Amino acid sequence: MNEVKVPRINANEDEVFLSDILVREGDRVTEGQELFSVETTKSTISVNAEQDGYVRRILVTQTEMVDVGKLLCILTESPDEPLDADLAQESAAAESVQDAPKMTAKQRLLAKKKAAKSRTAADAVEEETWVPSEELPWVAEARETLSKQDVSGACSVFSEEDARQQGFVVGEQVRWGSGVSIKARRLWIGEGAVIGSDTIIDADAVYIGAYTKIGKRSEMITREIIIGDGVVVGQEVLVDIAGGLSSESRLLVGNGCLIASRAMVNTCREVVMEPESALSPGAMVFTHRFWQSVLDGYSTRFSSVRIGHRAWAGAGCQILPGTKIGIGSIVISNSTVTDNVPAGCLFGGIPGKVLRENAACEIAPAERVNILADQLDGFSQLLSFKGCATELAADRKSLTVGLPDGDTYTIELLETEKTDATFRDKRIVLLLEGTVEEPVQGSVFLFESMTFIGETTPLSAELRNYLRRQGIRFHPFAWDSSYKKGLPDA
Amino acid sequence: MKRVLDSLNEGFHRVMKERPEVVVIGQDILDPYGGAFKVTRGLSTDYPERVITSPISEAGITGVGIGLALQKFRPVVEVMFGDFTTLIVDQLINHGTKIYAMYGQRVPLPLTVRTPMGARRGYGPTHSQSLERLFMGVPGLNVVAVSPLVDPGELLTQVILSDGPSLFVENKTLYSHPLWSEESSIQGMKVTRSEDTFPSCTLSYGEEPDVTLVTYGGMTPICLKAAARLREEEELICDVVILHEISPFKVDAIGASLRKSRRMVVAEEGTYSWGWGAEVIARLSEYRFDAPPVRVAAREVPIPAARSMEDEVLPQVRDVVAAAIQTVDSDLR
Repeated sequence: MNEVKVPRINANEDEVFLSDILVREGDRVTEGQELFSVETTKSTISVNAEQDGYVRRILVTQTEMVDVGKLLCILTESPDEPLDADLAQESAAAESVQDAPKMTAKQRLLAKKKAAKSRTAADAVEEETWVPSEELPWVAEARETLSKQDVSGACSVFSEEDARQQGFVVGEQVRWGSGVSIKARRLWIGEGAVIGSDTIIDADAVYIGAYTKIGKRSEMITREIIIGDGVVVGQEVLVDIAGGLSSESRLLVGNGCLIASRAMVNTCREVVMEPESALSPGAMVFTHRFWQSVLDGYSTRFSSVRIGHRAWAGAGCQILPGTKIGIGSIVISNSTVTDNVPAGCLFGGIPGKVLRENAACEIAPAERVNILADQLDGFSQLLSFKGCATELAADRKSLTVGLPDGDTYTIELLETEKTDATFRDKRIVLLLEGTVEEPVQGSVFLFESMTFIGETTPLSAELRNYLRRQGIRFHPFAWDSSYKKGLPDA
Repeated sequence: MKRVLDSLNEGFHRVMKERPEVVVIGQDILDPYGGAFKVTRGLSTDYPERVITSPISEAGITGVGIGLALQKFRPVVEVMFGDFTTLIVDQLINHGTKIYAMYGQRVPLPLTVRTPMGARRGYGPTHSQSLERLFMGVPGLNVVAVSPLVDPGELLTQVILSDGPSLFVENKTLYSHPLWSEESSIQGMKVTRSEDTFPSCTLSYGEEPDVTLVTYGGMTPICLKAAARLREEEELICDVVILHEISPFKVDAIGASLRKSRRMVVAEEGTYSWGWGAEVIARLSEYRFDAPPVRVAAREVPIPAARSMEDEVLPQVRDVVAAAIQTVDSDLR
């Protein structure tokens, strides 16, 4: 026997409004079927059947205010099992009031369809609760870092020395291209970052993460720029404030993202790219839309855009104001995103729609090893091209590499850590599970955390780059920071 | 107000006039009697050489029909009650549908066997059945059923003028039913006809349907009454799809409605198991259903002669209504 009670929806409201009674005594219900609707001052939720069964008693007869915890109805698995005596009495009392209205088949059908819709809508909401940008940890951290700088008037700087002199923070080994000018009140550039020649950056606050690369002749003009670590911004990328500068004009880009060449990001309102999301060449993000006059009945839109973690908008896409691209989804090139893109799907067209609900296949954990073994196989062929002698083990989980300079390395694919002796000089380990403490001998790719520890050698740099081209990125790089460190051409 | 019978008789007269190769064979079809159900009334007067009365020998006249068809006539053989088609099975199936392949060239065999099926008149178990189901799925045999929605005389003409053997299924209670023309508004529903020679008709309220009702022949008025009752009492909107070519048949009209409703009821006057409904559901199984489709049919007992008991055995409006509600209250997981 299942007692259905008025749920507590929030901490503040002890009484809620029962707005819909969707079943009658005697009805057969199925798991998840909506039984009642209750409303607080802010929301309406369904009270659903927890399992298949029969409605034996309904203890409410009309839409009214009800206390949280009040018994609404009793369900039993079979239509005739006996109920508790006191409950029978309570319901008899309720029955003496007017009869519940008779439901037609159509009403039952609509109730069913509504419940099904709210179920899928609820699922969707669960998957994609977008955290407000100010609460994203990497945004908060960057702002924290920037806030430590002395706020004086904005000034333009033309070199790293210039910048340091002004009190800005510029990390080690930053490469500042010729003709680059940055105008800001606060500026923080992480170590190893690269800013391509003739790029112009003009914002109130600028945070550029470690090992991030910004290509030549880009122009980024907005109010706040936060770009994480290892991000690639291509050549001739445009970030602007067409549509008007506002308090929300900002570009927030997480670690490992890609904004490819000639992409255009309009920041009339906020644009957030969650970590490891990508905009292919020529993609365009709009946060404003207006042309014809509102006096003639045309509409305008000014609204932020959000690109979810690991999502990818293809070349030439247009992403329109107010849209959100769900986690892990793909928008095919030249599409127009007019509406939110659900997570994980393949989306495309003008106007865009879901082409396939799952862009990716499900991979059993056991498969990952095989996929990596394939990678190792492919890598060995690249190495031959680079003049190395290679020998791949029969199980393809081990590769011996003879470098042109005479050194011999081994690359091992391991599912879990073996012993301390596993890690040694001239050995590169790909460790699928588990972690290893530094210092460690040789080089280790840790797949659990997607980090790389140990020695960077030309071979490890080459392998890291190879894996990156299969979407396997080890923090912080979305780009080839080490191509010059890789193996020379044969 | 023209009735189905009038249309059949007029169509018959027209085709006899226009096509001298049409001949009619049956029992008691000569004027003044003009046939048990009067479909052939007046034909023997107007075309005395082409209307042949026969003794009680269904197999015999079917065989004669086959021979005449091979001789380039277009014979129309009447089996007085559909129940007696059992007597023609060997001639029709083993000879009529296979002879065309025996001559080293395809030979047309334009034989039409027409017969009234159906009950609700208290004629008893051997004069009330709907045995067209026994002839469905026979390769090379077309089964066509009359309804008030498509001019029956026109339908009969098209069957007579087709090149292969056909079973033309009339219905006793439909003979006196008024015709529904293209323009008539049938209880507020709009009629859409397909472009085929033997069209399918979809009756719709113009709103998204909740349930699709599918039927043919004598169950047509019953399904329409059920649709009206469902709308009035349960607020359910039904599409009613009527087929005329029932074996083989096209799913297009059914599918078009089913795509919107995702719930289906198939009704027939024949018995339940292995009936027409089973084939319809099998053919539609590729479509998305929200609930298991439901069949309405006669109970699997001999049809009683007593009218009150006959009503219990045969499918009624209330059965179609209950079936539609059942699809609404059930779900396919």
